[in-house]
Amino acid sequence: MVFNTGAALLDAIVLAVVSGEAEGTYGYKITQEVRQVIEISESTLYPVLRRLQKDGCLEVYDMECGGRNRRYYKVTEKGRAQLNLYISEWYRYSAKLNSIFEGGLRHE
Amino acid sequence: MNRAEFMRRLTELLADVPPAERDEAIQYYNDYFDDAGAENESSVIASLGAPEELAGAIKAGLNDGGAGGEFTETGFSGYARAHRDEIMRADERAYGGSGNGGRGIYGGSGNGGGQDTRQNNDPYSQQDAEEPQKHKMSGGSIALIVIAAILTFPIWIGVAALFGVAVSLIVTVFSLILAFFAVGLIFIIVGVALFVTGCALLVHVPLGGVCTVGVALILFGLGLLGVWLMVWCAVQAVPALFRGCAALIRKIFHRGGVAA
Repeated sequence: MVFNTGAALLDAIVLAVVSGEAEGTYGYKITQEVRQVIEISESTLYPVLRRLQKDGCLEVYDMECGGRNRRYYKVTEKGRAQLNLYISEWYRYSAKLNSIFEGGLRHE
Repeated sequence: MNRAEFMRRLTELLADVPPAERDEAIQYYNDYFDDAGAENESSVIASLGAPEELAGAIKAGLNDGGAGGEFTETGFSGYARAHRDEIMRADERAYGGSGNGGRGIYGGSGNGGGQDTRQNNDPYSQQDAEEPQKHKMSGGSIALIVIAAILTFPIWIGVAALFGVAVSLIVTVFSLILAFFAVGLIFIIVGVALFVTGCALLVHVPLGGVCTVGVALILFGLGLLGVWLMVWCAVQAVPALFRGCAALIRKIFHRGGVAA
């Protein structure tokens, strides 16, 4: 990928992926979904999930699945507010970039 | 390296992190292997990298945890706080005029995003408004205290003078009591001495002896009376005086407070 994914954008992507599942989702699935859109190593996501959990944006719970306990991540109210902020920020940011890009193209 | 070896090595490498964090990470990667399935074991190990790298990433995440300060009660701090004003200013025009480029691409969802931001920014604007108000209030209260101090200046002088008078009064009363007490004691001692002398004189000069004994008894009586009076003063009257002074001062202070 040409562009870097900063910490805030990665947080936003993770929150968006997790909030897509009303009942919560688990680490492996989150990793696979995030990796469909951005190139990150598989070891990058655990620290992000852990931090979001500590910050109260994600909550975890264990659920029986196939004879073992699987840890599920779910977005909290705070996480949802955070995600909304990220999304609106992203629209604003990308709109600015788009206007510059389009303007630049028009001038050519 | 298979899964068991990988996890054993990871556990070893995380020996120096808090047990709760270590368990959390180990559980996560055990889940990860389980969910990937046995058939993907080697590819997961390959993509996770060396256990050393993974342990390093986990530890770095621990040290970073919250230190980046991107998630706070008021939103993400590092970026948003610095650009808060910019965001608020941009809020008014971004989706009005200059945001046309964005609209062209994001359509309706762009507007939705704008509304969300406005909601999110509301607490910010309240906060910004509150901060200077707090400063004004503290400045105002300091000014009030200074003005009150100046206005009540005569009262402070009066209180100080009264305090001085009260102290000198107390000292005077104490000295008087002590003096009377001493005089009373001396009268008693002299009375006793004269009584002895008078008794001795009775043998040779009966009249002089009787007079001396009489005087001695009078002195003794006066001394006793004096000492008793002073003791009574010290026990009863002085505390009463103190109480009176205290009440007076309290009354003055109260009046001063009302005047201010």
